[in-house]
Amino acid sequence: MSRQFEPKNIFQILLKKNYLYLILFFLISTFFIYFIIYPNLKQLILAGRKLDELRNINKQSDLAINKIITIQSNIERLRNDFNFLDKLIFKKPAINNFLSDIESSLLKNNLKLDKLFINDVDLIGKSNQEAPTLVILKGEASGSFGDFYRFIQEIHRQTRLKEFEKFEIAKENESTEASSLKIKFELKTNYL
Amino acid sequence: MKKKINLVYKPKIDFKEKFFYFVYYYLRYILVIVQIIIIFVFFNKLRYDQEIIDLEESIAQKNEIITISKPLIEQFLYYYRKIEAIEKINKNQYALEDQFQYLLNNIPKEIVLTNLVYEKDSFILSGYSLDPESIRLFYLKLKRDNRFKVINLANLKKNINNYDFVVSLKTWQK
Repeated sequence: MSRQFEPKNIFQILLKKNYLYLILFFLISTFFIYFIIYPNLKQLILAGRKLDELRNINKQSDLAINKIITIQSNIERLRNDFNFLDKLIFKKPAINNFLSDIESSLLKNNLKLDKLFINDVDLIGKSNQEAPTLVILKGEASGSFGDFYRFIQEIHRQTRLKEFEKFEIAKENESTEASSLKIKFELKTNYL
Repeated sequence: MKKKINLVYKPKIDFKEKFFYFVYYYLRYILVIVQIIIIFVFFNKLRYDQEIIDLEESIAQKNEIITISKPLIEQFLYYYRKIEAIEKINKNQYALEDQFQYLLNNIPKEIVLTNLVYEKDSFILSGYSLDPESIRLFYLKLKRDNRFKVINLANLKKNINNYDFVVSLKTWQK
């Protein structure tokens, strides 16, 4: 008859070979890892991430404030020039100013004004502050080539900025004198 | 009668002893490690939280400064747009004057212009000349100077007494 040990259950085996302690050790370790260590480390990592984000935002805010300081100092330095900028590009359409500028330039350069008209102008002139709003004036005049060139120069030298969108110079007809030309022009100005 | 006697002593370990054995040799390591981690987390969390609160306060203050400065920024952007528009207009004005001056200086006396159209950085010149050579020289001069990117001589026609032509010029190059 053999004298082999016949185990009754698994615990006996485990106890015999001291595995029960190991199993319990790992079970309890797992419990602690899952329910205590993992949530704690997770909180720490999340706090670390939040801290990084806040540091980044703080850095950007610092940059923004530095830019604001630069802007403020520049505005203070250039405040006197703003009035001049407002004269270059008006805040309102100021059609009367636009017309008088053109009329005076035409007269000064011996051009005879035939027609002058403006379409689609918002006279209240509430600019959108985002981009300059255009006012386009169409006109017809007669005069010489040289006079018209001087008229262009005169318009360009005026304080309120204007630019030629289009112009056409043509001979009126065969019978009229050589220097007399028919000039159609489109002038634009901005307000902002 | 036979009596079985086991000569190998087998000590009987009770549950209490096993429990204390486990606690002493196994559980204490678990508890110590867990405690070390918890203390590490606790102090770091404390440090992080303090820093987070400080940063949040600092950011809130800076945001207030930015909010207060909004009109200033808008004023700056307004004038910035104005300056941009002024620069663009000035550039266009100088370009037109240069183009016009260039044409005035280079159109030969033999050529008579009947029509000149300017629109968005391009010119169309129509005219006539008694001498076709002057038209050819004018065209070659334009090509050689290369001040306009596109130079096109079209509609060269012979009339009874003269030669009609149309030249289109596009994109001024400084």
